Amino acid sequence: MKKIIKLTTEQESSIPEFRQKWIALGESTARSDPSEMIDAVNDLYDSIGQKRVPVFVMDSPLGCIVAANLFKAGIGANIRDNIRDNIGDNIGDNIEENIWDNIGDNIQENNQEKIGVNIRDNIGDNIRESIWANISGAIVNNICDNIGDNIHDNIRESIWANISGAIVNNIWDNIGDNIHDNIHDNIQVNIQENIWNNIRNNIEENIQVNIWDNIDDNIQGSIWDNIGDNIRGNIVTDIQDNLVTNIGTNLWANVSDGIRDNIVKNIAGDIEENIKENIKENIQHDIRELSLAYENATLWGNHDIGWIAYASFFETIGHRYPAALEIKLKAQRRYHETCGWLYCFDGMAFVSQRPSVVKLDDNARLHCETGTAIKYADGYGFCAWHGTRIPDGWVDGKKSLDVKTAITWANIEQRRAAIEILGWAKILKELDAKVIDADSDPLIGTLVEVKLPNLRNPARFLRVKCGTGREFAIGVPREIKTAIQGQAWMNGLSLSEFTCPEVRT
Amino acid sequence: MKTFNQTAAQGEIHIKKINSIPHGALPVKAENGLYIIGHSETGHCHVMTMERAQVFEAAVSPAGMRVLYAILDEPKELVHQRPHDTHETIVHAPGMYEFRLGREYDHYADLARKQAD
Repeated sequence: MKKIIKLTTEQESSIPEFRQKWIALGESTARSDPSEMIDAVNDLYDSIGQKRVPVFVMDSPLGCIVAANLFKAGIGANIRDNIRDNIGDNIGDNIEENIWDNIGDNIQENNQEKIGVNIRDNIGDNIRESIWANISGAIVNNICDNIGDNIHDNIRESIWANISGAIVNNIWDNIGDNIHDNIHDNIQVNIQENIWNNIRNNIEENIQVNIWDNIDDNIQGSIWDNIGDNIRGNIVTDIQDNLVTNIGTNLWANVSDGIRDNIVKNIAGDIEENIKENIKENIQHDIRELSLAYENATLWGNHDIGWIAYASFFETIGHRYPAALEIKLKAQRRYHETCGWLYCFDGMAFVSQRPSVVKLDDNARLHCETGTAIKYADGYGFCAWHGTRIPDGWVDGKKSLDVKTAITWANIEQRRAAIEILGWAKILKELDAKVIDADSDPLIGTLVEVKLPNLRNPARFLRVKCGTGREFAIGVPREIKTAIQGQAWMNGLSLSEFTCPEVRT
Repeated sequence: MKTFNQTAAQGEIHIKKINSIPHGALPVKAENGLYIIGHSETGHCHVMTMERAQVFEAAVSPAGMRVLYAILDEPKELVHQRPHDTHETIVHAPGMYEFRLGREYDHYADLARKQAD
């Protein structure tokens, strides 16, 4: 094929529309059919010659992380242990008493009655139904008769095929409501203390210890135990890096530098900046803050769609990749177009739906002035002000944001956002502010004195712009008399030692 | 991308060209190939690559802040790792530099502390 060295006018003019289409996909909030998502992940594995693994569809990246934590902590083993221990007559009692009563009781004991009731009401029935419908028929009979090698297959087939979806979807569909209603503002504490610790401490210890040793040899090696290490490295290497390298090499050989640079700049770069960097990093940081074992996502689905767009553009202008590469790219495209974040483990994978809400400002930064800027169907989400993550209450009715909170908030980026939300006029008026010194250079700023609640003496702040043009309020000691003296103090210098920067960015 | 002769500022970091590294300054370790000149609790750090560079921290700094120094054997960029509202990259010519990481005053705690972002 002759190397493409020039785009036609028509091809050039198609870039904006093409880019917009892919940005829309990256920002998409459409819910995918779970079976399509599973097929897409299976395609990924097929495309690299890897054996398919069971794939759980969750509502959010957080759901994936929590589910992975639960599996690693042995919730699967607990269910299995109960089954094994109660192969005789008591399967129902034990499951109910040991699993569901533990969840319910322990959460209730922790004064999370609402959570407990909801979990019991919503999860208990569904799981009981699933367990009874599927375990009793499919597994118990088989285990009783074929406790040898077949146990693995039976558990795999029955639990994976019939129970896994029901349990996980039911747990997370319903915990999602609880998270939304009860834990939204305190997700970390409640998940950690009320769900995570209770499941871990009570179910795992009460049940697993009793039974696990008895059937260890029979079931170890089963799928429940096979959630090993996060295999992101391998998968990324297999799925993505090799493909990126191959595509890059292929395009380098077949498309001129100028065109490639043009497409990188106008498609991949733009999408990456708007979606990947902005949305992905916010979610990643948010989840990382939780006290769960953090797992890095293997792939980021629609939030990492820039490079797929880049690779795909050349197909629209007639370029054809080698067949093997095309298959991989097709699989990647299908996954990225259909799914959210993907977590691949040794033996299973969790894939998230896309967010149900994404709100952006004119610069494609996460932003919403009335509520969550990004939200998933299970309730996970957060508020953001022009790309800066802020506490939910600040824009959700603004009940938790008052002038004192705004002006004294520890994180200066969030403080800036708080001040923007309330507005300087309101803050200065409510704090009875007076200007002490106003420098002609806004980058040096204006020294103001305000009366803060519960402080005997007035406090001084430097109201100053940074190199990006955003306005901050920086606390300075009461002894500071001028704005430039405040600047010197902020840098640990005396006025005579301070020199205004030649360049500010 | 900006350049400067003697002084510059990238966000809360005040940069000054100097002639020597103060006595007693302690070497700073690079992390994943980068010197983190300005830490950010939200991951939006100000960083510089470690090749042909040495970074030190002042043994004693003014209350509530850190002072770092760098010896650069080749031109280096100080990059702000934030996808939005990014402080533009500043290019440093080879030489020695002082980085003062801005502080602020907490009126309730009655003490100076680093500017956290």
